[in-house]
Amino acid sequence: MSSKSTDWMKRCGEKSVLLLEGKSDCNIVKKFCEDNKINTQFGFCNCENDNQVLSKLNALLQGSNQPEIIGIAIMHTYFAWQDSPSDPLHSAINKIALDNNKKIAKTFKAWLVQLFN
Amino acid sequence: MCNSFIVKNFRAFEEIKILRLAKVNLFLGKNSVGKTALFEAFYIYLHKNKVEAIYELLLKKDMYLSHEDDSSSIGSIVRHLFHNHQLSNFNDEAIILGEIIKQGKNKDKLTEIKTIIDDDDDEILRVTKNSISEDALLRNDFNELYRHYRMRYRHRISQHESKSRKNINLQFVRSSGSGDIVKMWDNIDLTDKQAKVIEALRIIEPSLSGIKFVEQDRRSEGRIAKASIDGEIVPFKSMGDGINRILYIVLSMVNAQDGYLLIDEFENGLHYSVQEQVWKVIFSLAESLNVQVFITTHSSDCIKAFGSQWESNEKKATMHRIDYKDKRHSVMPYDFSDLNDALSTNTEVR
Repeated sequence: MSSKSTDWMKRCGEKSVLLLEGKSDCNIVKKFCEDNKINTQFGFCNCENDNQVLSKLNALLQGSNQPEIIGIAIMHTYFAWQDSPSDPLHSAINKIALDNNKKIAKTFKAWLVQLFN
Repeated sequence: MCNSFIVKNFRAFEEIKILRLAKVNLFLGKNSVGKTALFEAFYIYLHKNKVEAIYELLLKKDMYLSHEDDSSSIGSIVRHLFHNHQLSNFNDEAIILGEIIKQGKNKDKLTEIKTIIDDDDDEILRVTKNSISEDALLRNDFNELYRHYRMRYRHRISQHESKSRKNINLQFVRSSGSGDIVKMWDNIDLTDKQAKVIEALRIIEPSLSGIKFVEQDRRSEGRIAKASIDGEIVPFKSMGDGINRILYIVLSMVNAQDGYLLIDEFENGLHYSVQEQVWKVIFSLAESLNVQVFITTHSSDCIKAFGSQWESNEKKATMHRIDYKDKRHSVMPYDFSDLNDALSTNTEVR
């Protein structure tokens, strides 16, 4: 059973919801939003892996409580190619996420804001 | 078998279409989205005697129409079948129940119920089935019409017994109660179907060895069902909801051979741990007895249990959710893979 500390990653039933592929991705996006003062009026939904993201999307689209907005962030396609290949994925993302001037970070921020606000 | 279904202008529905049906069909939906209305539509469409079907739905079981008023006119009764409880305008659109007609095919599989004004300026209810119409004056007494039709159908059945019998194999398992289990048990006397019923009951009571319908002391009670368990004779009424529900469901099913079975709120009384096995029985009897089954549920345990059987019988079942949104009814069909996505990601389907 999930511990309380990760419950915020299970808000898959919100009206606006962002599907993510794992725990770390949830943490990264959350931190990114905090750093960039992005209003997170969507639910974070940790789908565990990439296949499950697609299953969840399909299930939500057909489900009885359809969200109004569904976003899917596949983080490694978004960020990974940006930085030096030798960096571990998370440190690469963290570095970019913290650096507001990176173009990719700006694009990601714009996408989040446009989609959910 | 009914391969698809369309309902128009009936009860709460303006129009609802189900494109594909299979041997076993599960329907989900929130309260008051029209699951019961859909079942009533199936019931009237599949029933050989439409007037009897209407009588059973509106007068016999549902008590919201007055019983005391013996002289209810046909118009005052059948108006409840129409959209918004109002008779359609004369010569206007009809209630339509039936299979969806592909272009080029004939209209034989539709039942049409409409009001018309005939050449003598009389207000008429016209029921058309297989392109044959029958008329009744709207002001006439409904109960009389019902008695008339019952006589006629009984007569027809006795005339060519075995052929017509086939057509009345339609059973409706209500959400509660136990139906006419005595009669259903007698119908399968001396057949191997009794063994099938006992086998199903063992899902809940493994040491059950037999069933008997015993005369009660008090005349009013009629016969009641008793079970033999470890040599003891126990009335079913004392045995809990689950086993009584299975008795009702499975007895109805073996009485629906080569016909149709409607089960409203499958899960009632059934603990989730036995539902998978009950579904197994339903899938297997649907095949071996050639029964097309229509089932409603509110329960996610029921859907999950259904899914476990659907997986190995993908072509043999369908699942639909009925939705009511912005004053419109719609039907969402699910494939097995869709249900699987929902179950594996814990997403609400109901």
